[in-house]
Amino acid sequence: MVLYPEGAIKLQGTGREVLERCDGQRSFGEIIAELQKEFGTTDPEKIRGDISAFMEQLQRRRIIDY
Amino acid sequence: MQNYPITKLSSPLALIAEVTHRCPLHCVYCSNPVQLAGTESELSTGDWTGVFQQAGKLGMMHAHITGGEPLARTDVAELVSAARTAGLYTNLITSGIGLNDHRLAALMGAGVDHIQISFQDSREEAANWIAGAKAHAHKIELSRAIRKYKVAFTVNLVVHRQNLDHLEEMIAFIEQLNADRVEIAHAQYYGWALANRAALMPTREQVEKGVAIVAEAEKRLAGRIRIDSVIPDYYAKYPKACMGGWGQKLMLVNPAGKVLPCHAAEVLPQMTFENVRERPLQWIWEESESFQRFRGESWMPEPCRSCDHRAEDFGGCRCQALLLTGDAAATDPACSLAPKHSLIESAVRESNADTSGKGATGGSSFVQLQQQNAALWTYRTNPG
Repeated sequence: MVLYPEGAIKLQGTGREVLERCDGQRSFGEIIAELQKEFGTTDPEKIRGDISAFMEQLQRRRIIDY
Repeated sequence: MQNYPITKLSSPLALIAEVTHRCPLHCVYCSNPVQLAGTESELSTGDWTGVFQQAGKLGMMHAHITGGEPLARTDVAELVSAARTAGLYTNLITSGIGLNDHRLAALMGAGVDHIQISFQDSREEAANWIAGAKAHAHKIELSRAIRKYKVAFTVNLVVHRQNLDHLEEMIAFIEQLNADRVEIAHAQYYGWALANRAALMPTREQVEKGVAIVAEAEKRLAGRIRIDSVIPDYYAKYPKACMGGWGQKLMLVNPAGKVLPCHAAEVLPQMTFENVRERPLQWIWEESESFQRFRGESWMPEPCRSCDHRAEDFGGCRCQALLLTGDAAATDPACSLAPKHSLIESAVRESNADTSGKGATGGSSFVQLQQQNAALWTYRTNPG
């Protein structure tokens, strides 16, 4: 569950996997690399594309910065 | 009293903690009730700690600590800490007046998650005129102090007839404050704002221009500042989904401990609101007559009862229905389908017929503005 000023998002599955890695330490590239490794059967470029779009959405809501 | 069956009742999402009605500002659009709760009746630190604990257990996620001016209480950091300990995301809604470096550090130490500061205008004299107090410069200073900490920061800007003509300038001003999020909120006509409606209500042209300016700013600032804005309900086709439905999402505890489904509910006649001093929050949420009175659809009159929008706007706002039609169970007159919609139409007509009285004239001081416009509006007073 992510709480922000006027709402909350319940994240499950891959969304959660991504956000749990947004810890202020890992870089964007590192997060992608980790997840590409973890979900090795999926096309790495698709993983990069999906995660970029997801993180952009979160940044638009000002939930993460990168 | 008939029985209002509850089919599926979920937990409330958030607690609005109106910790005091005292305020150093006198904003003419204040949504606090005209009958303010007195200082003597305020809940103690211990009472509030108990309320936050109950809210956490009830499954609530957010605590919005507001007022009046919450900083008028000396124990705000303790209240924040109590809300955080109860597992709540804690939002402090403040004018900033009463905040200094020392108190800010204490709030951060207490774990405040988010601070929201309201601005009345981008122009100092006009802002002070609307607030009825010299507050603007101090707010800017505090916004800078807040940005030194890692805390989510929202700037709230209330817009209306007197300031909408320079909305672009106000947005540019807010950009400099470096907020994560901006709320552009049209004044809503309850409490003090209803008393001052004629001076606050924008023209249709102002509203339409405003919508375009906000849309442009949203695009330009995407990824940097999030903008949340709402169209004023007097100019909308359907009413606002007030509080996400009566007794559906939120509970408000007022300074004296009264538990309300919304900010204005105390105006509703023949209703008894429970007090946290006497009843647990959970009982009030699940069992009290007041929270069940307009929950769900069984109370609805026509045209709401058979309307396709009833699950989206819940028939609009009960307090607005009462304030304008005299009947809290009427369809909100802001709805274009409401039998009493003519009440809104005539207010809109009046506001558009007379386009004078918009905006403070340049160069005037705060005191001059007050004198020149003495009859324009009534300032919010303070509780006894």
